[in-house]
Amino acid sequence: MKLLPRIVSIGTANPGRRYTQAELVSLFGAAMDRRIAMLFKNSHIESRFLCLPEPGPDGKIPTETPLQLAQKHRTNALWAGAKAIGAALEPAGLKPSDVDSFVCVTSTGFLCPSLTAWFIKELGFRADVHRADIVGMGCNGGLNGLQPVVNYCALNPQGVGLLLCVEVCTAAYVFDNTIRTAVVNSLFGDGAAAAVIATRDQAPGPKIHGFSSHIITDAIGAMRFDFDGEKQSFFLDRDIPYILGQNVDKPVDKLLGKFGLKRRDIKHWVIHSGGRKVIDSIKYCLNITAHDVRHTDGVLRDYGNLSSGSFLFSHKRLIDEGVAKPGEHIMMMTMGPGSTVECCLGEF
Amino acid sequence: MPPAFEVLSLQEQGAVAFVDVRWPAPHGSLSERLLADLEALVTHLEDEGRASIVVFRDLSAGTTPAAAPKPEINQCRRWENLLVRIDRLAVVTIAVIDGTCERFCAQLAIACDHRVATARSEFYMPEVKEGYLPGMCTFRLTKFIGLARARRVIFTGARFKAAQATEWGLVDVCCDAGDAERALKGLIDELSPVDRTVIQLARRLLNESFATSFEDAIGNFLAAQHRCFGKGGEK
Repeated sequence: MKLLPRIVSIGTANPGRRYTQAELVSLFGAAMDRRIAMLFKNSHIESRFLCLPEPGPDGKIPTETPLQLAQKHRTNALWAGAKAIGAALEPAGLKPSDVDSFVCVTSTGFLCPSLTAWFIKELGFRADVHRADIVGMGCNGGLNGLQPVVNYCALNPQGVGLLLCVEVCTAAYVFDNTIRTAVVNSLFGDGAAAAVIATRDQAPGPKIHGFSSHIITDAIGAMRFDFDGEKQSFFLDRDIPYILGQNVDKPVDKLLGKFGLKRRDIKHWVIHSGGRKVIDSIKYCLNITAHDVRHTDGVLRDYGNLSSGSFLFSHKRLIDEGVAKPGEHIMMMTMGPGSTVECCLGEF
Repeated sequence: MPPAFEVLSLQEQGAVAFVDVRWPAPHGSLSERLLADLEALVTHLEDEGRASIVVFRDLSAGTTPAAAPKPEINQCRRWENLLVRIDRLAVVTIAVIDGTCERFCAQLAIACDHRVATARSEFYMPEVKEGYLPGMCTFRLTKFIGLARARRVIFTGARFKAAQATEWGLVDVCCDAGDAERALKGLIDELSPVDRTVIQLARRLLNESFATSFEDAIGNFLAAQHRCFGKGGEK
């Protein structure tokens, strides 16, 4: 029987320091506006790792220039990315020089040369490593990045693939006392997650059967960066969680149908921790339980929305939980700008 | 096409499906065959069923049956999975009871959305007296009749009549023995028309109301309401 590429290990890291959501209300000056304070309070987030400058004499976070934000992204993406890569490679008994295909996903900063080039130089990857940088796909980008790594390993069964999702969301924070920026500032956290992919008959993670995508072009503007004249400011439409929910069955059922499966055959759901409303919407539209989304909920509670790497944080929790048995199926789902839903079917 | 069943029959008449179960002896006990048939039935209702109301008939025995053997633990696991799947179906479920409703019969009846019982019917859960548990009745029954009553009938194995169950809110319609068909039709008329997606979501929100904070519940409601308006996927 043909062996399929598997997720061999997952490593995570968070730059900056952990802040409680209550701390952030005063640091961000959110207490001044009752509606903004409620956004923070009702987010179902208890804490997040953030890279923030020291507060000024007024106790608030000082404004950062676009250059400072870009430097913050580069410095922290390289630090957290290296940590996550190390944490993923070490349990697999691998070194950077063993990696044959390397894909890096980020949407919170733009570098040229890109992140993969910097990691190759700093961590000692081979000069001939296949690489690709996926930039600007947003929260769904992790599964868009996983697909080429899996394809590489399927075509090269001896090869080792590495996916890195690294987001420094605080490098895209704008403070202007509007609900628009408060929604973003109350939700996103900083973090990196790496996954080692290889074609092995046994590994803690699942083998990958396939992927499906669904883009809702009518909602292309629902999640987007706008240039406000100085900085990129992220926008999230109020109703996008529900628009995603009403479309989420399409890629899920299409992918399941390809393999003769039904939703009841999925034992494990690993879903992007997009926010409370997103999780509720997915839960009720797919008719899955609170238990099914326990890791999605837990990652949101402990880290906020980590964008592209979020699903790997949940996936690591599932693997560490040790409950998945051989033969059980897993559905990974990420959602993001486009608006899009990405799905990946695996089997332990 | 519905699968071929051995110990139950399924009649799909428009929006209503009637399920008649031939329980193995002693009445109300479990068998591998019954489990397999019920699992196939639920799979059919999930995947291909067009009915929006499912009526389980024959959830009772005409006479007081003998003691039943203890089920195997794996059968208990399969049975509870089955009841969870029934509880998530995009249909309204009705149990019709005309006689003694006990053991797994009672568990299935209590897992249904509604119960129609004749006045001569009674409920009986003797498992605790026999050294094991009456399934997740320990969970479901409490929600219907309250902790004190549920504790009493489960601890003592005391029988309770349909009139009592009606007073407690467990039975929706109590009727004379010859009047069950008419009572059932009246309930079906009251429930119809049934929107499958909306019923599924409404049941879930109602069930979750016992264990959800208002803050969480309102988020759940908004997610469900958006789905009702958009009518997304359903399975």
